[in-house]
Amino acid sequence: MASPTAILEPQITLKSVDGDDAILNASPEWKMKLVDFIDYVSTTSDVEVAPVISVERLEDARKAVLKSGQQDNVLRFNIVHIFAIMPAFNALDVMDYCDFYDYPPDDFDRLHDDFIAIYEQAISDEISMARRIKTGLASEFDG
Amino acid sequence: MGKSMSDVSVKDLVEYIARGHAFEKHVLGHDLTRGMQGVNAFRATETNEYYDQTNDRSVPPKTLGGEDLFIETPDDLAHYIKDDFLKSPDTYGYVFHEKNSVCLCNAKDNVAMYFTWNNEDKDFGTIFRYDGTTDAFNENLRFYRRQESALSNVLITEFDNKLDQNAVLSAINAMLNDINLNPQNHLFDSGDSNSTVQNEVFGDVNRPGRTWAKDFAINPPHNVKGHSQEYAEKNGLSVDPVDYVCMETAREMELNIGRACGSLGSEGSSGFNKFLGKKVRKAIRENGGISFAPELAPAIA
Repeated sequence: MASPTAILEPQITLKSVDGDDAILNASPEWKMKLVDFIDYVSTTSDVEVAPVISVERLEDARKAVLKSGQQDNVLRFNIVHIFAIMPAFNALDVMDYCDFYDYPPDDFDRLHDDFIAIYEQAISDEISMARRIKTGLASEFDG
Repeated sequence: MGKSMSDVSVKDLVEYIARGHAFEKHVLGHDLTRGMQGVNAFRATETNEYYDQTNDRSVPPKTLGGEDLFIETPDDLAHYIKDDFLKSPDTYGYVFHEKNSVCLCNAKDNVAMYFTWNNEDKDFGTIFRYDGTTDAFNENLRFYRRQESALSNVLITEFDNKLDQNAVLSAINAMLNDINLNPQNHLFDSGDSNSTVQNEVFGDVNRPGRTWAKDFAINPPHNVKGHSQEYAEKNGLSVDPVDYVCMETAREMELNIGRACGSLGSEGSSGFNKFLGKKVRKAIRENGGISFAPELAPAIA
């Protein structure tokens, strides 16, 4: 079941793939939410998360977001940036909505689900991570 | 006196992890993850049901996966790591080169373990079991394989005890050799050449895995020596019955002493207590509190 405040509509989506780049639709607001998430996960001291996070690659991803500008709604993300960010979502997936104290859980859930969709579409590879926001009929069977 | 520069061994790493934060978090259940609070991850078959106040709903239990490992004490945990997990043909993993960490998973037990020389608690890593731990571990492996292929660069080195029965131990020993031979490459503070693993971790010989200078607890549970009866019997260990350890008693002592001395969550304490204090205060304020329900922990001995 989605939280009462869950952000039900995808906020970052795949527009197209251009060589090694994924062209994403992302508003300036959600670009900053992505930067905040990268900052959060890059600095975590959680030893179940930190040892499997590539801070160098995440820093590259962060720079790419900031470089994309805050005026338009497009984000050009290299495929390796997506690879770098996925382990972060995966490692934090163990936490339920109400376990997040230091990062907005609604933002995490939305980014998590958006990047699973982007990964699957851009890489053409299905992954086993479940969506965190369940809507409609799916929510009836949660747990 | 701390240990000398060449003394770091696999035994040390295991001892620190077994008595470090992993014991409190995953055996005693001092976990901020709501469904795992009060749960001994290595014994329970499922997470706790709990009430999610934000969403006004009850969150049902989830299956943890893996069999009961009977781990109750730090010595049980150390024995499991050394004599089972690291040697098991079901254990595999990878070295994550950027962090110089050794990441392991035992699919049969649904347990993952990370050896990392540099973490905040200075206890060399962790061992844990959540629902879906093996799946998450394997998914990360897939991410890194595909990332390597995209980058044409080596990010990880994989190994598997099924292919080489010493593979896991060899990977850990390689990390240790590097720490011992090149201590200057493993500094907690890059600007301080004395902040080596040996100096920082082994400097405090009183409390392996801990650096709580202001912790008043006299007999904390992670320093308890000995095996639980059930673990010893299940694993055929030769333990005199008088030496069996009862963690419930030890935990009760620690909590009482902690309360008397005001050490739990006090502002002046360092390490996990300080971290927990901040988290607990915030949780109490916003989410109705954290419950480390002791009655949920399995009784032993």
